[in-house]
Amino acid sequence: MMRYHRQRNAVIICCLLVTSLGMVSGQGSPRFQMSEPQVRLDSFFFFNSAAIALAMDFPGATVRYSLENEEVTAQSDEYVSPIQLTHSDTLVARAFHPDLTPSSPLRVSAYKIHPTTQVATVRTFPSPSSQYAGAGVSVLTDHQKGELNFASDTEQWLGWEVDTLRLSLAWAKPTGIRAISCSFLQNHGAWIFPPQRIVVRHHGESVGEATIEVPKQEAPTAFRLVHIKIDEKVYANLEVELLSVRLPSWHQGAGRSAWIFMDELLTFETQN
Amino acid sequence: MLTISWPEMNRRDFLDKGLKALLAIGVLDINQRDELVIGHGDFRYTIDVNWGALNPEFFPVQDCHEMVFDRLGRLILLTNHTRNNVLIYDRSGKLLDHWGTTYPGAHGLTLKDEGGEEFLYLTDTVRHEVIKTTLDGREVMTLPYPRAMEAYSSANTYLPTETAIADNGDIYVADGYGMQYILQYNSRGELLRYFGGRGEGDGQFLNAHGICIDNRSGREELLITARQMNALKRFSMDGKHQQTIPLPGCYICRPVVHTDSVYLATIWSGNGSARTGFLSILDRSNHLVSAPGGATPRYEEGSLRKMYQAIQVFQHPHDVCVDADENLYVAQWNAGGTYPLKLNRV
Repeated sequence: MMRYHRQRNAVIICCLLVTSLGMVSGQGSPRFQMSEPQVRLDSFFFFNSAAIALAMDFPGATVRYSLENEEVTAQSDEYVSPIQLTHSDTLVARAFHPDLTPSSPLRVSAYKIHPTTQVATVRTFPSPSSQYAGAGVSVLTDHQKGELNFASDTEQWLGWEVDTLRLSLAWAKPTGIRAISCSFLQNHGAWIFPPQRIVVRHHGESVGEATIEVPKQEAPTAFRLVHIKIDEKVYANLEVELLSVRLPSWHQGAGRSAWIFMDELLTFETQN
Repeated sequence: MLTISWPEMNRRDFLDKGLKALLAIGVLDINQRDELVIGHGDFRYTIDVNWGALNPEFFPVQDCHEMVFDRLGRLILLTNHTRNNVLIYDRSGKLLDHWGTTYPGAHGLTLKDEGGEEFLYLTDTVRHEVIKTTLDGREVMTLPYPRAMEAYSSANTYLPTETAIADNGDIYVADGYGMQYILQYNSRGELLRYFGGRGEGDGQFLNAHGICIDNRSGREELLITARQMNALKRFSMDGKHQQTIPLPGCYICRPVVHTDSVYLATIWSGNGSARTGFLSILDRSNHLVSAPGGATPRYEEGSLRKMYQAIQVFQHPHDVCVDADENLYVAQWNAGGTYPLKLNRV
């Protein structure tokens, strides 16, 4: 619970300082900021609908939200029950309290995917670490996301501690492919970063590439979805090469290879 | 800066009537003198963010990792800044002494009274060593990496984060950033046994970050954090797993036993994002009863609901120290070179 102790001292008016403690301070007691609401998304990828639940269990706090990535203000809708999405969307939410600074906005996206997307057979080189082998490599194409807290989800996440990871994709019959999406975990405390570079090759020739900016120190634990457009052709197989990040100087494991955690790989067919 | 006092005017009236115009133009604001109280139940605190502040030009800190009180009531802080690895404060926050320039990976700090003389045990994750010193910094013993153990191919695989010292002098080392073993040495530094190791089994760890001796039952036991598993584990002194205490959403650093309670700096919470920390306080039954800075702890059918931060009081709390009046001192990792803050119990 929270309350304020009263002190009958002189009021001091001064310019405000925003500090790295998440508080606004003048001279005297600081004014603290609410944390972002908690979010639970039942399905990051969905065929028909997805539900988003929000929470902030703190006396006097309310959670407000908007859809379509619109900013949230004190006049936005108040959250009362889970929100159903029927198309790809980005929800924004903030926590408010009359005596505290509102939280930063929380953004969560869910993606509607076409149910006829062809599923490739995936092999990985090397195999995932024995500690993080999930329910097998097939989890990469089961359209199920892992939990943000990977330690509580031993099924969906595959983890590698390597410099280079290679994925081999093969289709039962040659298929027109226009793009690939890879879903990664970003969790600095667990030394997990998305790869810094992804190259998609066909018979050794690059057909698509992506460079991913190394997350900044303040970046939250998050899903990172990387979309790679590739030369639109009919393919029977592709190879995806992922280069891991060297942990940056601010990190406690500076200089070592980061872990790559991956839970989904989507392939998108050529649209006729 | 403009200072206004109003000995006869009600403060709320003053706010309502006198300052709305100033607030409306958006360049000035009132900083309320009201103090925020955080925590739950009997464990509630006001916050003194300036308690340990020093001039960083003379006494810089990098990460403030751990703290202990000595029997004189001096608070000893360990930082990995090699200008002054150890800063010694009195309870008012005044700096009394400093020493240490050779501990670039200073991380764990434990104090033990051994026959009337107090000693410090430091772990260093860069030197890959445990170092025993006097309170004024004279090194009396060093435990190097356990090269005799097959699990350790080189010193680099040994990253000790914490120690606990039993009454018989045995030294327990948690290799929390390394291979996740708990190594038990005798007081002469001879390796007696090891247990744990990386894994998700009852007796294993993911990030065995902190360890302490728990005397609350009347006999010595070990409390060890499995930080990445959001759990506290209880072991016998010979390494037998006794109990796992799940603390969902709590990334706990090291347990600190004080009277009937266990205090744990919780560096991250919820999904483990940066700057989501708070403090966790367990009662004698190891139930979470207060979470200063966190959401209200709630048990549903005997299980703690997943915890998360509610207010941004802390960045990355790494250790909590309790004084005789049960005020708390909080050291923080990766907090912009800031000094420990104090929570005053109300």
